[in-house]
Amino acid sequence: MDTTIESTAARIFTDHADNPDRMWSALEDSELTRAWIPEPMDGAGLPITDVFGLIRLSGTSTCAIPYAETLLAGYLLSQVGIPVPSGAISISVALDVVADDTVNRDDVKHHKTTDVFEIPYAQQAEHLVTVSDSGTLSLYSADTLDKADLAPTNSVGSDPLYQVSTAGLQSVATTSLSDPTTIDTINRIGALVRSAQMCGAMEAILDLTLEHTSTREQFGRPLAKFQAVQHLLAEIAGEAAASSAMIEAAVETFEQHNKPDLRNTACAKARTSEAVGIIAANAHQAHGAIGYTQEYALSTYTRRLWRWREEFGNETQWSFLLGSDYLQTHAGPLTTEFFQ
Amino acid sequence: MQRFRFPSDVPDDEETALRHQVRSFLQQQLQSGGYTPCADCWVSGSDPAFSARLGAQGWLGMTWPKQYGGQGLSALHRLVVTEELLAAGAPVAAHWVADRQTGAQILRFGTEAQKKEILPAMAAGTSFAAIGMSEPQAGSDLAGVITRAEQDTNGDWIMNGRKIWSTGAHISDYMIVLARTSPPDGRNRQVGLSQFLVPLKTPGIEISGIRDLAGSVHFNETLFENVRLSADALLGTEGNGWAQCMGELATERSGPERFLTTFVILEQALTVLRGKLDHQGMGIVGRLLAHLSALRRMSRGIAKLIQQGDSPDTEAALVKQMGNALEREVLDEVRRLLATLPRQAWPHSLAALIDDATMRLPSHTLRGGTTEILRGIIARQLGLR
Repeated sequence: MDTTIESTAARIFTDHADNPDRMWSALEDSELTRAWIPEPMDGAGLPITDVFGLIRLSGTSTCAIPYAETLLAGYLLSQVGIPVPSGAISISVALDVVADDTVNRDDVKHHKTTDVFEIPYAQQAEHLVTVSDSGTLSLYSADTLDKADLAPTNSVGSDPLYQVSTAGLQSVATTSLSDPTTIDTINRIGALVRSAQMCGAMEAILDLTLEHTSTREQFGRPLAKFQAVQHLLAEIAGEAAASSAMIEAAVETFEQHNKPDLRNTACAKARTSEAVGIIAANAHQAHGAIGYTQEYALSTYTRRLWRWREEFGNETQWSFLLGSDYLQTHAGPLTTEFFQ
Repeated sequence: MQRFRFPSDVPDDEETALRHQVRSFLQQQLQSGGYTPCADCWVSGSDPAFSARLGAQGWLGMTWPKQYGGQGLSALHRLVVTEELLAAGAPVAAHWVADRQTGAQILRFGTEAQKKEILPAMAAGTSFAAIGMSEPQAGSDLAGVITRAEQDTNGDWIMNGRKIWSTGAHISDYMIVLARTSPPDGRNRQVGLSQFLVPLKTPGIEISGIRDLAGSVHFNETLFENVRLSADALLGTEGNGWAQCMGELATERSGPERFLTTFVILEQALTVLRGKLDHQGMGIVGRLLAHLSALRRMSRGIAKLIQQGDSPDTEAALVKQMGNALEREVLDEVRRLLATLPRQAWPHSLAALIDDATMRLPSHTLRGGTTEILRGIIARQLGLR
C-alpha cells in the first residue's frame, strides 16, 4: 500500500476515533471516500491494493461510519456507468453466494424478487444501493425514503441496521446485472471487502487483548504472565496472521487481473470467517467481564465480526465453492493445481 | 502499523521452471522405483542414495555460495524444491538437517577450512548432520543442558555429556552440540553456553538408536566421553551459544515441513474421493485447501522476508503452531471422508500412509519447540513481558 495514503488514513482513523462526523469529513476532504472510483468519474482512482489497505484500516476503528459501504457502492456504480453521487452511500446485496441447488441460476429471473433489504446505516447515508436477488442494481436517494420505508432492526452487528422496503420507491438509476459472471464477481468483491474489514478488526482485537492482559493484574501479576492466557493470545495472533496472509493474496490477484478469482477469494473469506469464532471467543475469555460490556471497545469489534463473517458468504459456503471447484472442474493432482 | 505482512509471492519464471524440473524428476523417480512416498518424509524417510541424487541435481545447499558447492540461489528457490519434495512424500530425511540449518550455521560461523571441507559434501548429499540440543534432563527447558566442554592447555576442547532425540545421528557425520562452557550468571542460565561443530567419528562418541512409537530407529542418544575436539570446533563465539541456537531454531520453524507432512495423503485420497463427495464433503475439502493456502502464503512470505534480511520470528512460530494443527486435521478429515468408500477403492498405498502418519503425528507438536513453548514465544514477541 502507498505509504503516504496509508499514513494519512491511519491518522484520520486515530485522530477522530471518537468523532464519526469529523472522521467522515476528514476522509471526504482527502478524497478517500472516492478512492475506488476511476478519475474520469470524479474519483481518486486508487489501485485496488491501496483501496483494500484503506478498507482494512477502517476495520481497526470502532467508529460507526459507512466507509467500506461507500467505497463498495462507488466501485459498483462506476463499473456499470452510473455517476457516483457525493456523500455517504450504503449498500445491500441480496445475491446468493451459493446458488440454490434446486434452482438453476438461469431460472433466477422467474423467482419472486425481494424488495425488502437489510441495509446498514440506511438512516445515515445520503444514497442507498441495492442489488436484488435477481440482479437488479438500483440507486436511491435517501430523501425519497420516508420513515415508513425504514425500520430499525436488531442485529448481531453493532452498527445501525435497517429493514428498507423499496417497493414504490423511485430510483435515481437502475440497471440489470443478470449475467452470472457479473453476479459472481460482485459476491467475490463483497466477500473481499468484508474480509479486509475483518482483518482490521482482528488486529485491533489483538492489540486490545495484549494491552488488557499486560496491565490487568490478578493473583499479584499481569494476566499475560499466565501460560494459559499466553495461549489464548498466540491463537488470536495465528488466526489474524493467516487471515491477513490470505486476504493479501486475494487482493493481489484482484489487482493483477482486475477481477477477483474464485480460489483466492474463497480461501480468504472462508479463512477469515472461520477465524472470527476463535478470535472472538479467545479475546472475550482473556478480557473477562469488562469485555462483555457495551461500553468497552471489544464488543463493538466482535459484534461486527459476527455479522461480517456471514455477509457475502460464510466459511461453509466459500469452502463448498472452493472444494467443488477443485473436485468438479480441475482434474489435475492437488500439487499441480495448488502449487504454482 | 499493520502487524502482520506477508509480501507478494508471485513466482518468477526461474522459480516456475525449477518447480517443473523438480516435479518431472520426482515423477520419473517414482515411476522407476526411486522412492516410495511416505508421510512425515523429512524425519522418517531416510534414503542416502536418494539424497545423493538430489545433490547431483544441485538441489541441496542451493542458497550457499558456489565456492562451497552451493548454487547461490535465493531462499524462494530452495522453498520451491522443498515444497515439491514434501508434497510428493519423497525420502528427504537423510540430508534435511544439513540442508536446512547445519549448513547455514557453518556458513555463518564456521572457519574457511570447515566451509571448504564440509559444505560441498553436504551439497552433494553425501554428508549429513544431526541436531545436538535436547538432553535427557533438558527438553523444553533447553537452557538446562549440562553437557560440558572445557578447554585444556593445548587449546583443545574436552566434551562430556549426553544428547538425545537426534534424528539421523546414526548416519550423520556432524552434529552441532550446544554445551556449557562457563557457569550460568546467577539465575540466567542462557549465559555460558556455546555451540560446537562435532565430527561424529571422533573417539569417545557413542551413538545408540532409540525406537520410536512406530518401531523405527530414526532418533538417537549420543554419549560424549572425554571427546577431544580441536580449538576450531567452537562454532561462532564462546558464550554466544544460546543466541546462535535460537537463530537456528527460528529459521527451521516456518518451512513447509511444518504443514505439508500429511499432504501426500490428502492428494492421494482426493483422487478417489473426486465425484463421490456430497456438498458437505466438498466443503470439508475446501476448508482444508483454504487453510493450506493461507499457510503456504505465510510460509512463502516469510521466506521472502528472510531473503530481504528481516527476522519474522513471530510469524515463523505462528506457521509451526498452526501448521502442526492442520496436519492433524488433514489426516482426521481424510480418514472420515474415506470411511464412506470401501477399502478396495482406496489407492494402493493409502492405508499404509494413513497408519504411518497417525503414528508420526504426536511428534509434530513436540519437535522444534513444543506448541506450549511456541505459544509462550509468540506471546512474548507480541510485546508481553
